[in-house]
Amino acid sequence: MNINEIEKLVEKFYNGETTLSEERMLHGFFSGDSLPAHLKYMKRQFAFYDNERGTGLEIPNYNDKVLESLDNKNKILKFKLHKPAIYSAYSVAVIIIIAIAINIFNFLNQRNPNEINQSTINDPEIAYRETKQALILVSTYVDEALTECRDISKFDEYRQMIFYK
Amino acid sequence: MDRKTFIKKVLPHKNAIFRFANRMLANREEAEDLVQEVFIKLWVRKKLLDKTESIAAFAMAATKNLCIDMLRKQKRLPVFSETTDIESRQPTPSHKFELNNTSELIGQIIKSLPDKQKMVMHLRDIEGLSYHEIETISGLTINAVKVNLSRARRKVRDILIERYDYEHK
Repeated sequence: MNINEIEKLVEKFYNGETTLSEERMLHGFFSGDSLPAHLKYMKRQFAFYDNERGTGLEIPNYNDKVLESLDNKNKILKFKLHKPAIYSAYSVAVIIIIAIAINIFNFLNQRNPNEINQSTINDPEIAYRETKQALILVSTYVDEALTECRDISKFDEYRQMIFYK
Repeated sequence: MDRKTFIKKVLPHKNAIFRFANRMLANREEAEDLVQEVFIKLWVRKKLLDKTESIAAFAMAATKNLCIDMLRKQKRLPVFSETTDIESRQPTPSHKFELNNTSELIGQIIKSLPDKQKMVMHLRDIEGLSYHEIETISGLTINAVKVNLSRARRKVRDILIERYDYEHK
């Protein structure tokens, strides 16, 4: 092919009018090394397409996994490739609940530190009562937080049943 | 379609399905998960696969639809919708790309293209599908396919010329 024909094809290519076989001809031409200076950019463009065509899934035994999931005649079992986002949401929820419990505890027990020191430092009996009361309060909030966690866990269980079983 | 035919004719499209999903979702993990969804969908509709003219086009259309569903669920920008104007989003100018590698640069240019252009260019220039197959997958007319393809290719060309200071007639 002479350069005039190539230029015409290039024009057609950028107009979106080339056929697949014409595109293959261009591809062949631009795979070579002796290219006109004003068309050298096309080599990069075609090289990119080649490179992209070489990419794909990088999961070992992918076909087997797909077939295994399709083989169950009654229900299709989806295999897990990636950790579902729900687990991250679950962790965040637990952290938030614990943080709220601690903040509520601190809010309800706000006192002047000097006052606390003055009232308990010399009286172990008061210190013991205060500590006990504080621990009971913490345990109440932890209980509430655990209930929330159980609810989330149950939700996740049902979700698994619906989507993966 | 039986299992054997499915293995022979449908599974070999897995990499093309993945590349297309990855192009549209711009997220490798989501694309990998989506390939599986596509195969499940194709297996459920295996009777239709027997009748289809092009398994590649059928698989890619299923991929496109699942990509749209996923993007809408995640409230990311709706793609391929009728209201999406191909000129509505301006591609990033070349000087914004601080990339040394040409492949990365072209990848970034394509990523910045409007969704229709991105989809059409991927299906034609990377997957080598016919205009008719792209028409089936995208729901665009052949003329619109060509217009979008032309704009996408020109955009890549213009940025490459600008970036690498190529001589150009």
